[in-house]
Order: sequence, then structure tokens, then C-alpha cells
Amino acid sequence: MLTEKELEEIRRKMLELEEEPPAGSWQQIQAEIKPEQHWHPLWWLLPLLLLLIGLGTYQWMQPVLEAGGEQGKQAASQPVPSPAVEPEKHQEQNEQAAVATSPASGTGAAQPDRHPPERRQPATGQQAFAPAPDLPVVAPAADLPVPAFTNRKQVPELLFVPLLEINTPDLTTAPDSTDRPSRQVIRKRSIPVAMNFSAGKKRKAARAAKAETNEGSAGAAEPATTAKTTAAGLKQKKTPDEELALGSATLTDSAVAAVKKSTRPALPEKRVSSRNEWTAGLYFAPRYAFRKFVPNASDDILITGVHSANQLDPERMGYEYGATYSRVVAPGLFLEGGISWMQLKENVAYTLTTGKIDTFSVSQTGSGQLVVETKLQTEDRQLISSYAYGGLRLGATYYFMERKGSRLNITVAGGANLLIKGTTRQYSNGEWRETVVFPSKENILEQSNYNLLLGVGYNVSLLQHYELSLMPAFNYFLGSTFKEREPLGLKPYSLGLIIQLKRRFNR
Amino acid sequence: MKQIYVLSEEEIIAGCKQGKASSQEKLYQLYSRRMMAVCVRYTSSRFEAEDIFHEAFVKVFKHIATYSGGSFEGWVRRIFVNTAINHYHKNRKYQEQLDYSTIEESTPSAEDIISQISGQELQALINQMPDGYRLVFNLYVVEGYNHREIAEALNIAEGTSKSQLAKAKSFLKKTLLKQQISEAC
Repeated sequence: MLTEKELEEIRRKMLELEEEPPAGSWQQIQAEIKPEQHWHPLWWLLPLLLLLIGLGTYQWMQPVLEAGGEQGKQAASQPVPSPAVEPEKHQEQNEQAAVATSPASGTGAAQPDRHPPERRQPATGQQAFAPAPDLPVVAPAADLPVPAFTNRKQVPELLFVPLLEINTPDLTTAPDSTDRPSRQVIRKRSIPVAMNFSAGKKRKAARAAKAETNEGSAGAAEPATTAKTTAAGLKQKKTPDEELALGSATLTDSAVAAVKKSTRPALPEKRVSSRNEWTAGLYFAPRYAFRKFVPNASDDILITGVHSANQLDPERMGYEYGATYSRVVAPGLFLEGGISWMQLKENVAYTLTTGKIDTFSVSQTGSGQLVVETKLQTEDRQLISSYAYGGLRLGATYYFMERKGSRLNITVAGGANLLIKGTTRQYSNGEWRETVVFPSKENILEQSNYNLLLGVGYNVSLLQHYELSLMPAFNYFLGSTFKEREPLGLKPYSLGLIIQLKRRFNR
Repeated sequence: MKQIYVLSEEEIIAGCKQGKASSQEKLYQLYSRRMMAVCVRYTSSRFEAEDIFHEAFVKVFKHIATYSGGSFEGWVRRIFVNTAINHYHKNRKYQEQLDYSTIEESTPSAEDIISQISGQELQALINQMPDGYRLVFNLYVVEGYNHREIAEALNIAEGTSKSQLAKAKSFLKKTLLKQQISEAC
């Protein structure tokens, strides 16, 4: 045996010993201990927030663009009296035609002008206009010769193009107007005339009609100088017929629909989503969480049994509630986004061993061979957890079998869940050991995951604008619970019933 | 004249706690050679030693905030030793030495041999021991653990620790004597 003195000598020599560390080991260690760049939750949510903001902005901008289109269609579909029976209207057309002619001509004759109005704009628009309230009001254009078009085909196209609006203010012309005494008052006017225009012209026509209406209502607010020069004329122009014609151009959607309905034969009613429809909704969904066990242990840990494999455990009943926004992108198809709050529960119990020997027995066989039998140490662990997730989800909903009061839908969505707060009570061999609170400060995204949702629902209309939706939905979570802390992982999936109340909007 | 300021160990530790890369590198330079020797002593191959070295150093940096005083080298060494023990648990084979027969041998003194051979040679002789012997021998003789601590660390009985140590001593003495004989020849 080695003596104590010898052992001390060995110890001294061993402690003095140094070895060359492996080449490049510092770089490897440095890479591993470098603090991880964790996204702050707000940064993590930023792309989805931007997307929602973008959708919202698009939603608010869209009505401005599309309202003109819709009204243009209405204006184009309204019956308009023949030009021949509307002297007042001809008067205005003539007035515009006169403005459209070259100022240098000074004739004031209404010559049909086939040049686009934009080309002429500089001739008038670049005049040095200045308020000149003292200038005499010119004679109304009614004195000018008006071509009497009785046949629509004979009418020069330009006269019926409402795009005749000239972007000049309601101002009296500048001193050079003395060269053009016949036209000193230039008004921005347009006439809602129904013609077989192209789609673009129709839209412009509708916009012009709308401007006309607005101008009529806002006339009182115009500057006094303008009012002086135009008030009389306007009053004269607003004949009942014209009022009717102008009014007809601004019929609402519902009025048009009513007219159409009254003139068409009754058909089976089928509600079709408007191209401008969007919805906002609130929902509640009881959810039951199933799970799939995923081995996550290192080689030295063996799970010998899972005791809570029963899939029907009331402990795992949870719920979710949230808000959604959706917007139609194609007939029947809605793009949907939403935020949610989800509360889920979990209860897992299992037995593990690390391979440590608890007891062993040595026996000898008849042949003299020694047989060693070992019993491994085991541990019964139980994890009782509850999780609260905040989620963002984007998806698409397709409505089909649409009837007057109901429709079906199929929804596919995907989203991210950020664990807001979670706790896991850990029991070892029946005794409480600790309660782990999630997420940890070191990893704020711990246990966050992604999920996929698939659901088919039934929607029924309530009141005028509301809709109640009942949608059984399957939710699959991409990501494993316990993946870092336990030798096993859980991949939960949930079945729930989404009960949603939606408000439909149509812009 | 350029002055070189050498950081004290306390300053290096404080820098490491703040996550300063320069301090971490200095700490690595300060202890890497000594700790690599620890790793080599507990393993039978250089590859295993390098694995333990990497794993243990990462643990040192990640848990340095928990160091609260005392011998820092002792704290670091304990992490390396524990990592080596864990490594042993992962790779150990159950058909290990389970012979509890007491070993009492009277052999000539090896003191002269020990004083004559270098630390490297002594290390090489220790590394020839079976894993179980070597582990207990290192923990008891070099690290200064007692048998109770060894028993807890290795999940064995204290008696097992004692017998393993006895066999390790015997093994080493025989090896040293063989070494002495071969050198004499």
C-alpha cells in the first residue's frame, strides 16, 4: 500500500500538473457563452402588428376610392332626360363649352371642342386670377347659341363627358379678362349625364356628380364675391327637373337595390358577400387540450412509465377568447386576423430513472458464476401546470352555402402564442418540491409556440348587421411544452367550439 | 514607457459576472491549463477530457454569478470534478469492480519512485487504472474528498469507496514498482 507520505507526494505532483487545452477551445466556449439575442416581445409582435395596421389603413383608404366607382355605376344606370328637353342643362353645357374654347378667339361661340380638357387647362388655369369683386357680372350663357341636339348620336361627345370640370376656382378673372368679356366667370361645373361611357368615364362622371351635389349644399359657404356673381344663376338653374336629375345621381345603394328589386322578378334570395364587406367580432371558445408525448431526455434518463396518459381528464379543460377582424378579398373569401387570450391546463405524472443503482444483490450460481442483480433508483414526478397565452392569428375564411339568414364557413389560420404567464407545480414521489413560474427572465420566449387552426362553422344572421358563428375548431400547436426543463415534451392539440359574434360592415 | 496593468483575480471575476468578454478570456487563460489537467486525470482518453473541459468551462461562465466567495480556484475545480463525475455516470459500465475482498499486501516502499518520476509520468500511470479505481483515487487523494462524499457523488456505498481506493493504491504501487524495475533494467 502507498503510505500517506507517498500519497501526499502524488497529490502535490498532480495539482502542479498542467495540460495544454485543446486548440480553438476558447472560440467554441466563447460562442456558447455569448448572451443570446432575445427579441423583446414587442419586437416579436411587431410584424404582425404592422400587418394589422396595414390592413386597417387599407380598409380606411378603400372606401374613398370605391365609393366613386359605386356611385358612378348608379349614375350611369339612372334615366336622364334628353338634353333637348333640358334647356337649363344645355345652358350649362354651353357655358362649359364656351370656356373650353380658346380665350383668344373672343367670339364666345360654342364650338365643339374635341381636345381633352387637360390640354386646355393651362390656358385658363395659368391665368393670373385675382379676386375682382367689382367687375361686372357677365351675361348668362343662355344668350349664347346652343346647338339643339335632338338625337343623342348627333351630340358631340365632349358635351356629354362630365370630365369637363375645369380646375379653376370660382373666381372672377383677372384684368386680362377684358379681352374676353363674354366669359369672365368660370365655374367648376360638371353634369351627371348618362351615356355609354367607358368604365373609367363612368367613375369620373359619378365623381363629378358627387361634386355637383356637394357644391350645391356648400354654396352658402362660398366667398361672398363668388356668391354675388353666381347666386342668381344657381337659383335659376336649380329647376325641379334638374333637382330630380341631380338627386337621382346620388341615390344610395339601398335605394338602387330597392328599385332593382321592385323591377326584377322574385328570385330565391341568396346573400352574397359584398366586395366591401368586413367584419369585426368577439369570440369565446372552450378548449380541451389533448397532448402527445415526445421524448426529450438525454441518454442517462429513462422514463419508465407515464401515468396520466388518459386523454379525458377534466383538468385539461381550458378556454380562449379574443377579437377578430376580417375583410373580403374575393367573393366569399375573407382574410382574417385576430388577437386572443388562451388559458390551458396540464397535468402529467410519470416515473423516471437516471440509471443510479438503488440496491443490488450478488448471488452465485451452481457453477460458481457470480450473478449481480441491480435495482435502479426511480422517481415519480407529477407536473400540474396552467398557462396563459396571448396570441396573434392570421388566416382565411371561406363562406359557402350562403342563404338569406345563414351561411357556412371553413377557416384555416395560423398564429403565434406568447406565454404571458405560466406555473408548474412539481411533485416528486408525492411531495411538493417547487413551483416554477414561466416565462423565466433569462428566456422570455420560453414555451412560446406557433399553432395552426382548422374549423368549419355555421353562421346565422342576427338583427341587421350581426352574425352569430358556431365553429368547432381543431388547434395544433407547433412546439413542445416542458422541452427544456423535463425529460419529456408535450405537443398539445386542442379541440374547441368557437362561439363568435360578428358585426358586418359594408363600405 | 508602456505600463501593463494586470487585472487581479477579483477584477476578472467581477468582469465575468458583468459578462465582459475580455474578462472571460483572461479567466480562461488563467485556469485553462490547470483545469485541462483535471480533465485528463479523470478520463482515459484525450477526447473525453476535451469534452469535459468544454462543458465544464461553459458551466463556469454561466454560473459564475453564483460564486459568492472563498477559493475561486477551488470553486472552478469542483465544477470540473463534478462534470467529470457526471461524465463518468453517463459512460460507466455496470460490470465494474464489485469485488470487496480486502487487499493487504506488503510491498517495498514506492516513495523513492514517486519522487523520481515526473508529474506527467505519474499521470500516465494513474491513467492506466480502471475507471472506477481512478475516479475514487483522484477524488480521495488529489481532491481531498472523504469516503462519505465520494459515496454520495458516485452513488455508491462508503465501503465500496474504501475498497476501490485500496485497490487503486495497490494497483498504482504495483505499477510504480514495475516502472522502477524497467528503469533499473
